[in-house]
Amino acid sequence: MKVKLLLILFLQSYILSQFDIGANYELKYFDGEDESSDIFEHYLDLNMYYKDLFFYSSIRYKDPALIGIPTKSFNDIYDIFYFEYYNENMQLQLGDIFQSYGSGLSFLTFEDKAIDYNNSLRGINLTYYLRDDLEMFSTLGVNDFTSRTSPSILEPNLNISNDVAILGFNFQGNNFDLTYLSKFNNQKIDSNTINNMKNSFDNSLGHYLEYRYQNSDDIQDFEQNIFEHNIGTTIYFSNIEFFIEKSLIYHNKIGGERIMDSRLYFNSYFSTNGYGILYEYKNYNTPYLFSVFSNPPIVFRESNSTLISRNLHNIDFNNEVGHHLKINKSFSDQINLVFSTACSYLSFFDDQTSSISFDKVLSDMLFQYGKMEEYSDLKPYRQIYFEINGIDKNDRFFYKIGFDKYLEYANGKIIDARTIPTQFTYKMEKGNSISAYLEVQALNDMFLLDKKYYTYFSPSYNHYGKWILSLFGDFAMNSKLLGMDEIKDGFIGADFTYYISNNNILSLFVGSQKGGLVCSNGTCVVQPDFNKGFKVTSKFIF
Amino acid sequence: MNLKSLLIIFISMSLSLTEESVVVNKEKLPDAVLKDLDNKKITISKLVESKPTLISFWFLACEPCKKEMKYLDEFNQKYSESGFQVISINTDGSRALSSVEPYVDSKKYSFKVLSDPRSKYQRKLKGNSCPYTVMVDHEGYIISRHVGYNPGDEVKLEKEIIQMIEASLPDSLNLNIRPNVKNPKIDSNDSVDEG
Repeated sequence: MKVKLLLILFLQSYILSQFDIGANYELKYFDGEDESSDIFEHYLDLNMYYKDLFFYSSIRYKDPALIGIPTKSFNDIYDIFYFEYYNENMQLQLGDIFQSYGSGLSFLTFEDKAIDYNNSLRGINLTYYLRDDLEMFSTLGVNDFTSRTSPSILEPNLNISNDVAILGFNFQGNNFDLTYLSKFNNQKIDSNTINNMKNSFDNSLGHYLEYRYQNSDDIQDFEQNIFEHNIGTTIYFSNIEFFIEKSLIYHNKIGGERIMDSRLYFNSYFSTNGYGILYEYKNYNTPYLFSVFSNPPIVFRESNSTLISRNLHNIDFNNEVGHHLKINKSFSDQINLVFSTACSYLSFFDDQTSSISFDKVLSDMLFQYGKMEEYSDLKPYRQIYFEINGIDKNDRFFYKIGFDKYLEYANGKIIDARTIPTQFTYKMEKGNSISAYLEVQALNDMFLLDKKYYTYFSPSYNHYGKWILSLFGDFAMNSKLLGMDEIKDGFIGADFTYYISNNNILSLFVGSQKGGLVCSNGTCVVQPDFNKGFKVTSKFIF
Repeated sequence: MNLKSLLIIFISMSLSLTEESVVVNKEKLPDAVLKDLDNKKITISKLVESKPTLISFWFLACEPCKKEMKYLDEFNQKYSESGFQVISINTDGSRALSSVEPYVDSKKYSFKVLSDPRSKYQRKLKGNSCPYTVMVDHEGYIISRHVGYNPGDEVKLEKEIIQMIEASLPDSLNLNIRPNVKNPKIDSNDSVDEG
């Protein structure tokens, strides 16, 4: 082991001397009351350049880990690596392939450390620019995808092996562009994974497996070839844009017959009189497929509010129809308006689904709120958001006030949440500033008849951009169990961040913090629950 | 135990790569082909082309990013006559990409907005969170990086922009830049850095 280590260090030293090198290091050390919230994680991103060659490597060490398996062996350390060669005619990548085509209906690979997700291919990716307006692309690779049926499970219990080949082109015309690709995917799923899907998935695939394999002993390893054709086009017409993308997927039901499914995504954007209007539509209909590489658009608004983001729509990327309308209007720097409304429901539930009129569902979901329960089996979701924000003429005071109404039937719950997120910032002299996030939420579980009220408050002071002190208060009151005036849960914490230089940051948190999206120190990150302890995080860019 | 030794070596290696060593080597801005919001291919090196440039990475759900962009737009307009430019690079993946253009249109930003949906170019520039701002001088060398944005940070950014513009001008013109820079807001610069 020592010889191996020395050899690697020697090679690394040699490479370091030949290349332009940069590094990005991040440390997380959490010490909380619960053992489960203890974390010791290190991430080191290395960038190396040599002329037109680029090498990227991400190295990690985590023990204990926030999520995922702790680092136990040398092989666990290397997380991501790839080489890239670029010139005017082509772009070649070898290693872990992070790529997307179109809007991701057929292929989008990415890593998300916060949820221990990585669906990248290990292989080769080539984009060749035939002409200024025409490029060909190809991807070949293998992937051993791992995931969990529940985030609370430490070891992944879903293991799917994939061999993938993609070939396609992109054409850029004067008023339109066109992308086409063919994808071949050999997928192998072991019997344990199928059994875990059967026992855990509360969706069409889970229900099918339950029906297909009434006796778990009948489950065998499964292998299939998935063929996919994907075509997408954007049409530019005056100040209106249309984008439409369709995938046709030929695959087998697990242990069953061969079928054809599809995914469709459409959006149209136009601006008139300063109003930017976006409409999106999705129809993802692959209910019997576990797709590793499809990551299509969500078709609802991603919120940057701490409380709103705790009720994120539980999207089913394999079985959902939905609409999203978003309007932006800026009257001046002082007044900007944002309006967004989205709704969705299952694309396929049972034979009755086709008898429900699309127009009726849409009309009821958008305009007749109470009628949603008629479609509860379709897991309907609806969200409306309105926001006004701006900054005063002296460029001192920023405000943002929103209102969000969320309703979803999912996982045995009927959640109705109304949230008012606000944010205020006042800039003082010489780059000092004070900011405050104040958010309140009324959350009603209409199934359990339980109502809760949440308050989130986070003031912070920024001193010359050198250090920032932030306080966090997060409280919940339960009307059913404890009475309106009694605080059930409380998370209180303080964070001190020191900027060693523009890009070297050291941060210390003391207290408790509820999990979810947290915005402080100029960035927003998703955090886990943390109880009574301290956290040290630091980032260094070299 | 071996892993821990390795970890210590990694950290010490990282710490030995000081900022000073990077400055001495003068890191050249890596090139790439990105697409703008009309899906047109843009080569970064051609866009930068001997102009002092601020490159900023952002995504829609990032509130600090949006606050910073207001000032970047002001700087882009204010110093464009001096050859300075802002290149804004959105990192939203294709899941949320459709909402980017409506947002940018509603704000009527004066700068070019490109798309880096898998953050590959951001990684090349050593960034992994947003907002992430990189200053590139007129010779195409990276001179500084900034992680995050807090209200007031624009004062520091503007100071660096002015320094980049001054450095891009011939020596004989350096003394003449101040009148061209409207309301530079640098009266308190010394205290900003030392605060």
